[in-house]
Amino acid sequence: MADSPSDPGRALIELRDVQIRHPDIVGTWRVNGVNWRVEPGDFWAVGGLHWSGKTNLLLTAAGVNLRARGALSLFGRELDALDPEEALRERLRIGLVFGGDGRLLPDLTVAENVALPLRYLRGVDDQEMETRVRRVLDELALLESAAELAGAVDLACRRRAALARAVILEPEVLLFDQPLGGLDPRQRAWWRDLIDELHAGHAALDSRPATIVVATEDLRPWRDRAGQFALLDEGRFHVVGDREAMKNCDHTLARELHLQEQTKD
Amino acid sequence: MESDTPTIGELRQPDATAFFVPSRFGFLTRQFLTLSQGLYGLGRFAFLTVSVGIAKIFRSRNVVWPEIRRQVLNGGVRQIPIATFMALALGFVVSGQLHVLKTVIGVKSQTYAGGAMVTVVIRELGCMAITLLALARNGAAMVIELGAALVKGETMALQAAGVDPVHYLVVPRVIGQSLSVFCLTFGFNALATASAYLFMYALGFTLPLGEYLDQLSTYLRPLDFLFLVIKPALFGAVVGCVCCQQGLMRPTKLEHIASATTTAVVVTLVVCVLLNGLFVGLFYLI
Repeated sequence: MADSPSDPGRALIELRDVQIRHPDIVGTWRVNGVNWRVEPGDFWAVGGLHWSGKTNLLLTAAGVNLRARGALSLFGRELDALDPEEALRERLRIGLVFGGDGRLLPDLTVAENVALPLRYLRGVDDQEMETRVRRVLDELALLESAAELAGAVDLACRRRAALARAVILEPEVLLFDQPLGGLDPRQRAWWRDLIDELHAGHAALDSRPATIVVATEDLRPWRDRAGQFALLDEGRFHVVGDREAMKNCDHTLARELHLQEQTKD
Repeated sequence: MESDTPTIGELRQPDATAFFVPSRFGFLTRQFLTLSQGLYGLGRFAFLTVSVGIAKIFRSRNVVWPEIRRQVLNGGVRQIPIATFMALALGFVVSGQLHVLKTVIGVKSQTYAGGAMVTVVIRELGCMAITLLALARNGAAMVIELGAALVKGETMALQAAGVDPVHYLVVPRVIGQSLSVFCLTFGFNALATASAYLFMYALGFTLPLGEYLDQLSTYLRPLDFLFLVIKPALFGAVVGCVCCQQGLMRPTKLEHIASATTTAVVVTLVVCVLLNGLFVGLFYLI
């Protein structure tokens, strides 16, 4: 198994010997000894079983503070050395797309959920905000549901709204937490294609290529898409390497998540 | 690590007082330690709320101020009918008691009308009744709403999107409750005072309006006017702060929300009664 990549190029996200604590159970940790570099243009797939700490890893990588120890730098800047305003600016260059129901606020409409970070952080005027929100909603096929309460729309729509909320601030890195979980085959195909397009350059991000990290319980849909692979197993983070390294990886979890034939769905 | 003021997540982590695990001690010590730790946690949360509220007072006004308006609408305007009913009922109760007194001491009982209204309703019951109303109608709902948001990861999602959950979720609720309880208490006291007079008139008292108003002004002290502003505003803030704290600090699973709601009600009552005692002490000392 390979160690953390040692390429001297600028890392967009770099975690060094990070211990990620449990957000709810005080005094416990979820993942230990995380050494990880995400570089421009990367497409990472991080595999782990249920409850292995994937979401907490993504939250930590996005700068939401779950570190018990270790160092995190975003875009080449040590987060701990920055003042809160600067740290927030760097954090917002990373978009986090949650799985499950997308973690939207259920008593706001889809459009209000998408607009919230923009209104809160940028204070743009109503007309500009409406234009930008409308454009993103249109790109993600959400216009029809824009006026509906987030708590009242279906799962696929909520998941897309979560993506829209993440891309509205035009981040450079997108972290996806189980983007295909619980979706039907048509939706899964839509998400796979969209993530490919976001990596190559999608209109929702002004055609700028995004660096992608996908955390998943099933690596099979990503084995021909992602360029770099990592595993979360028993509280440890293992960087596997590229497709070839993943293919030849003899880790039990790698075989479970990656090499099985696609019999499901 | 990122900010000088602790975040919700950091407040939920163990602190230096963790050594004093209440279960290690006897009953009384245990109760005292539990109460102390509870008040300490509430104090930290209140400090965080005030710090964030002040530091970001003019920031994101287009998002936070409409939230405050929404909280005032829910916690104040929508409670006007029930507050009106309670004020009329309290006016009726006081006038009814004066009528009972009239059967014992005769017409002289009407000379106590103003005093009874000031000492019982305006100084004490009005504010407490509205606080209880706010707690029952809004506080409990607040714990459930925020507890569910926490358990479902919505607060974490807000944080990830750059929205400060304390600024967006807690500050508007605390300010909204404070304004609502203040305004409702003012209206409640005025209406209860007026309705008591009307009910007395209906019950056959012959107290002229001018004399009733004279009695009220005789019993009201300048300090009453100051306390009439401070007390309801503070009690409303306590409702908002305790309920937000219990909603955002305690639940880790949906089934914890019920006990957090019960705790919020009990803690709010205890804190408000203690503060009320403090106000009474101050009133008679000054």
